[in-house]
Amino acid sequence: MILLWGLANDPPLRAVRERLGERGAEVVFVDHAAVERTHVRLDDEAFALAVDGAELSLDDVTAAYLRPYDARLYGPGVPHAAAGVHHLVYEWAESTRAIVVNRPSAEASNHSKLLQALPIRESGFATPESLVTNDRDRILEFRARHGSVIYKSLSSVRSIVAELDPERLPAGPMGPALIQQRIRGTNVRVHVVADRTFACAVESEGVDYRYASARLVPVTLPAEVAGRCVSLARRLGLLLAGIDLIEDADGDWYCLEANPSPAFTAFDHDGAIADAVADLLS
Amino acid sequence: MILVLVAAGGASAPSAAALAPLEAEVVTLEELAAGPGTLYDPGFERSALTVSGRRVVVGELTGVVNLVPAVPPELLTFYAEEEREYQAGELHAWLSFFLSSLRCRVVNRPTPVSLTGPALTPLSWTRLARAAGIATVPLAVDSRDVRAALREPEPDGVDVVCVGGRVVSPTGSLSDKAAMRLAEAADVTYLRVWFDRDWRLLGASSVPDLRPEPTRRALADYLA
Repeated sequence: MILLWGLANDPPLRAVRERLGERGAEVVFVDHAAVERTHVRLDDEAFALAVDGAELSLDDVTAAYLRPYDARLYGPGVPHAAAGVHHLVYEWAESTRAIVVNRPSAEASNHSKLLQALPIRESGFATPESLVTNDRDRILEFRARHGSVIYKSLSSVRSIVAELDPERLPAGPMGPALIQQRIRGTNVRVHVVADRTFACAVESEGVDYRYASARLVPVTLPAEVAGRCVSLARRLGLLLAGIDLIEDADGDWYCLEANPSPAFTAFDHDGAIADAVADLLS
Repeated sequence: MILVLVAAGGASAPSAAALAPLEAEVVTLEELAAGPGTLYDPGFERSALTVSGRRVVVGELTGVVNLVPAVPPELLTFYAEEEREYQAGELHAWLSFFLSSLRCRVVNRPTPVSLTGPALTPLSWTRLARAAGIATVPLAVDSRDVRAALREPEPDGVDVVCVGGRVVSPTGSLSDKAAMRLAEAADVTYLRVWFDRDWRLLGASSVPDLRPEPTRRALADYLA
């Protein structure tokens, strides 16, 4: 039995659900929108999840694709109700022998971009020179050395990547900020599903292509680069990952980060990624 | 220099003098966020932070004891209220990289889910203990009332502290070996484990408790 947990209209979850439906796979979809009516219990006999009284034994689940919604965004009351459900589903996901896309501890692997840079380099990629500082002088010194630098969040909180304008640095005290050497070249987004890779070049003039007009062009990665992507996903414990690469003018491949819960459908022009996830779960 | 990282200052925070025989400087989240500090990657060894008003290069640190499993936004009162949640994530990410990259001993090393090792709740400890062949109390958790499972257990029988592969103040009972086995299974340097009167595991914590003098002594020996 395959468990899908998320929102019905979430594009990646919907795409995988459709693919599994076409195969006639035994699927249980648990709607995260019903988190207030969801109930999970664990005792010495069973690990069970129920929605509106219909119970599912989690011990019967062979694979799961988890894309929970941020319950804090539901509004007052729900986060508290959701906390217990999240806690126990994560507990199950962490300890089960089932295939889980992705386990919570692996999902947490991008909570610190600089910490993730270590396995990225171990996988054979270059990473941009970076510093995290609240020291204005260090930032100006770093910028003078690199010419052009960008800033973004250090944590996994989504932020708009932008080029640093020293005129806009706060004059007073500031919190630590992540500043990186700007790498120029071709952006390539790679999705890894187990040992398969799917790559798209992103043609955009924007510093952060997610917030600029962009054209996506499927490309074939050099085998060695594809191998590095698979190696990185394995190091991070991710069965599904969205990896952001830049190939610079010298042909060096930089990796900016690996997203453990990628919304891959925008890059999935032929449905191959959703198929691969369905293959994995099946 | 040995560093003890605490969430906040004030009456509840240990003073450097109260940590004896552990000779350590105490640093709060506020001091880390406000004092000039820079972490480099690559080239972490050039990184520096401010401790007690002095610039300290990471190579000067000989050990760190971290008492902060996660950065609580509500303690970041030095940021505007609407920024606290974001800044908590940033500070957590900063600490995670910092504590993972230090070459000196760190008690405990962070994991992706917690700054003080595995963020295991009493429920998780129970499951890990069972996998390691350690007797536990029965499991019974319900998502509608998960608070009981998330709360640290009250000491009802005995608690055992392990530091650096040995038991602090051994009890001579079965619980000593069980606690060591659990620390090994969880891959942590510091672990406090609670057992009931029948030597069944109630729960555990990987957040160092520096109040008992024998624990401070054991940590001082481990970090020496």
